[in-house]
Amino acid sequence: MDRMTKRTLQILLSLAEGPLHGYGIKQNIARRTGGAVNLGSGTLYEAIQRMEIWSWIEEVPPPDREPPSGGPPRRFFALTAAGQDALSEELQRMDEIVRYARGRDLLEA
Amino acid sequence: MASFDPGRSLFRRLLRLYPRNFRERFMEEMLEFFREERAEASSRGFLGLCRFWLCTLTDLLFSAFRMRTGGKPNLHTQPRRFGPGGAHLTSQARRPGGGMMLDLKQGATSLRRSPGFVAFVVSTLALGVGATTAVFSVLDAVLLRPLPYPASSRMMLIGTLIRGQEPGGSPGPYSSADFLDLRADPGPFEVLVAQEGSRAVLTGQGDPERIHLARISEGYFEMFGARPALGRLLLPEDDGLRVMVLSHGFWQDRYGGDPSVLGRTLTLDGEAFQVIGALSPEFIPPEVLPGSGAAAWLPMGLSVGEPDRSSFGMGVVGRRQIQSTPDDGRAHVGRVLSDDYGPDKGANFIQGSVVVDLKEATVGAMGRTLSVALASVFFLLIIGCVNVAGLLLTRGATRQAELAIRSALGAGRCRLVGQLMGESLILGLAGGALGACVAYGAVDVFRKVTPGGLPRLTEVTVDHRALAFTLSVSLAAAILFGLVPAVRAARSAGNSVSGMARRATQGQRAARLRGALILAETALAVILTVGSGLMVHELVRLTTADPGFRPGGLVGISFRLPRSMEREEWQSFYGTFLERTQGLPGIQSSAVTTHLPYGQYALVQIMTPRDARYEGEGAWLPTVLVSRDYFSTMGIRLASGRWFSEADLRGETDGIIVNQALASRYWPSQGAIGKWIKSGAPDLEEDEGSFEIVGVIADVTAQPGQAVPEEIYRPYRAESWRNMTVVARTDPETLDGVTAGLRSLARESLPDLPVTITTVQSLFREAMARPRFYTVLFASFGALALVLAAVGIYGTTAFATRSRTREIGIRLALGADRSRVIRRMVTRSGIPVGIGVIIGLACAFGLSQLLSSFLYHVPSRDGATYVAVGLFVLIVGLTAALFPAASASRIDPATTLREEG
Repeated sequence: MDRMTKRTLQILLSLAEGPLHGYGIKQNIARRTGGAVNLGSGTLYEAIQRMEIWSWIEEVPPPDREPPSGGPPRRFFALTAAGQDALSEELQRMDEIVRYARGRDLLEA
Repeated sequence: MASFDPGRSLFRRLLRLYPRNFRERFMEEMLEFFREERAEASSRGFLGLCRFWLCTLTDLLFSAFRMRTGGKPNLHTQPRRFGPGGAHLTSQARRPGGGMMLDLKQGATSLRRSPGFVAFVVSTLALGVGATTAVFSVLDAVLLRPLPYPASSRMMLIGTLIRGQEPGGSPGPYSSADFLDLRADPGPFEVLVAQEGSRAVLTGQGDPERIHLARISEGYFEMFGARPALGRLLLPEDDGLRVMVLSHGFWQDRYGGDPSVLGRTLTLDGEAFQVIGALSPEFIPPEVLPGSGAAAWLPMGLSVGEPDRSSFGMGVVGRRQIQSTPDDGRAHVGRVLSDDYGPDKGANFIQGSVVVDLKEATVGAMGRTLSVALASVFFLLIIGCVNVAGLLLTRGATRQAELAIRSALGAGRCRLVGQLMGESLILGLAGGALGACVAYGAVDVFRKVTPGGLPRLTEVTVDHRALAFTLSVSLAAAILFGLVPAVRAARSAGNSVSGMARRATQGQRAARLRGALILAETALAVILTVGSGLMVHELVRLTTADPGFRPGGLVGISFRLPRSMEREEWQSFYGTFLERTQGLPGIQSSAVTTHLPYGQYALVQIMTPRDARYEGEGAWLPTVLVSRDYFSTMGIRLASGRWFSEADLRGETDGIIVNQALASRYWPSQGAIGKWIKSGAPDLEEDEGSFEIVGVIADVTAQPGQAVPEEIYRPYRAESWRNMTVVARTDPETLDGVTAGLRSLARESLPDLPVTITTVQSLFREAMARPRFYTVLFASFGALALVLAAVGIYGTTAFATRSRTREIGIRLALGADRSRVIRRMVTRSGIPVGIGVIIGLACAFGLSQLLSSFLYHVPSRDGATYVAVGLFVLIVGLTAALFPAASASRIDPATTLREEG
């Protein structure tokens, strides 16, 4: 099993909460990690394109609560079933590692 | 739509780095992302914005780079494995066709591990590349690009060679009769146009305003490709009519771009003119023609007036036919002029013709200044590259282990050099991208702070040509700073696997290379600093030089009296005004004059000194008309003879006063008092009168840094002159009050007249604006060079010290004196610094001789500046070396030995 990059995981985690557009993903990640992970536009859309090719995410019509920014309509992305699977598989794997570490007293409960 | 946003357009341009399909899909999104992120960043202040730009640019470059090079074949499978850089290297290295993209990819991967290093290198390069691009943009706009007119390469400025003027100078003015002669016989010219400048007072709407006018002959606007933004331009049938076309700037500023100005009647000097149109903003009038900054354009009226051969004030431009050469044009103009002014035609002032390329005439001496500036910034860039090379050398040495392993795993020397060059290339390109931003900003600042009179300034922009230049400079820089360190590092990596035996010789070689780098950057810094030091010294000299009068507390009020006034009227006006100023509180004395120092001469006449050196030769000499108290008001000293007597002042005698420059030119040994000067050319009959020199005054600076012209002073009542200046002396503290007093006095005397009030010191500041600007420009190059060199010397010495920690530890453990250790380390960098200073001074001496012939009066043999700069750079260099050496001497021997052992 290939390991997933930190970035990919973070994007999947954000989209697990619901469809978001690019800048929304960035803000979500920054908020969740307290600013520790800060994605630039280039890196973000690069990852989005890659994950689209893997069919982990797909473009969806914007939700009704489209903010009144006045800008052009945004592209929203959501997780596909494959994306859900990839995310839970990865989380599962991480969970196993954490449980192993706890069992050996490497990590405090 | 939103207004122009340079940041956004830069971002949009950089997006072109991405593959097309990606760009088409995500460009709009990314621009929106950019907008929101920048808005958020700018709410965190300037630093937030800087951080944002740095992150955005880095992110963009790296991700674009990954997309261009990244494993497209893997995209359809599963996520790639991002293993540690070295592990998958060898397999890929052996794959055929890995090539340059692979080099770049590996370079990027390894650079990401040292962001501090990247930031330092990229910002150093950005500074160098940015400065170079900015100067190139100016040079490109001013020198390289053709003038913005159709077939401008065939346009020539046509003028006369005036007696007393050096041949090869700029074309002198033309008379209307001569222009008509030339137009009747155009020879190789397909079009000929003329322009005259004048000024007039615009009245009738709001405050009276003095505006500049241009009078033009027919065909002018067609020749220069001007178009109307409103109404129409002048037609041949308008010649002689009272119509005018407004310049775009004047139409906007005075009338707010109101279209209803069309057809309106404006009053100029009391005469009514109808507005028939306004020019479009794209039209830039040829700057060398008189009146090019005009607010309104009027027909010249050549078809209605009498041709005049006595008044010279026209600028003439001709466009040659395609098959003719500049020499044809020159020969033809000379022939036509000599028909009127040949040797058989008796006395005249015109000696011949001067015909030059219009662009050459426009750009003039700026070309040299800009070339020197470009050379200077190239020096800066080279210093920057040397710094980066030093750093890469250091980096190569610290990575010897990594490189050795790769080499052992089968990566050939070429592969390693390739990867290291890949790093340099990325650094170069990133520096170039950021440098483009620096250039945008620098050009903007340059356009704002440049003093007036710089040709073609409005045309300066950072365009695709400049960006192409940036790209090539960045690539060249990458090769310059990357190649030697890469080859060195790769070679030593190959060696170090086979054992450490050669370490000692390698150490020596590395030290030699470091010494060479220090030497090079010191020498370059010295050259630039000497150049700017010479200019600063000259500026100080100009600012503190004795001007020959006391400039503090002098204020001048200049009048342009209406044409309707008769001679007696204006003489009595000046007399009365002068009397009334003497009653104003705060004024110590006042006088009337036609000229103030640092200003223009109103009156220049041809004169022939008699019984003098250059016997029988006439010269154009400026004549200044003054009232009695002029010399005492200005604080001018008498060198010999006497001041004007009452009889002189009433115009009953022929007494004049000259300056020392004139006296010593024509009567160097016997003195000028009692000598005569004839008015007019030498071959003219004696009907225009002669003047007797009664006094000689000390020279008064006319323009800072220029030789004092030979001047004649005459009482103002002896000659009729309408437009004069009243100058008053006061205490510098009461200057403001006196200025206000003078203004209200002028308004009382002549309510409908605009006046200009200036202090002599502000005239001086204006005259100094250009030399000061160039000095500041070159001084900042010098300062930057010094800082860069100091940083480079510091970095190199710090590294050399670090790599000798063990040696120093052993020495200290064996009981060596700390100060001796410091001295040893400083000497190691000090010797190349010293040699660099000497080489730099020698080169600077050679170059400054060039410089002094090129640029603004810079004395090349200014020993004090050389010594001062040499010592200063030496001290800066040694100080930069001292810090790391001092910290090395504080090493704890025990710790170092344990670590290294």
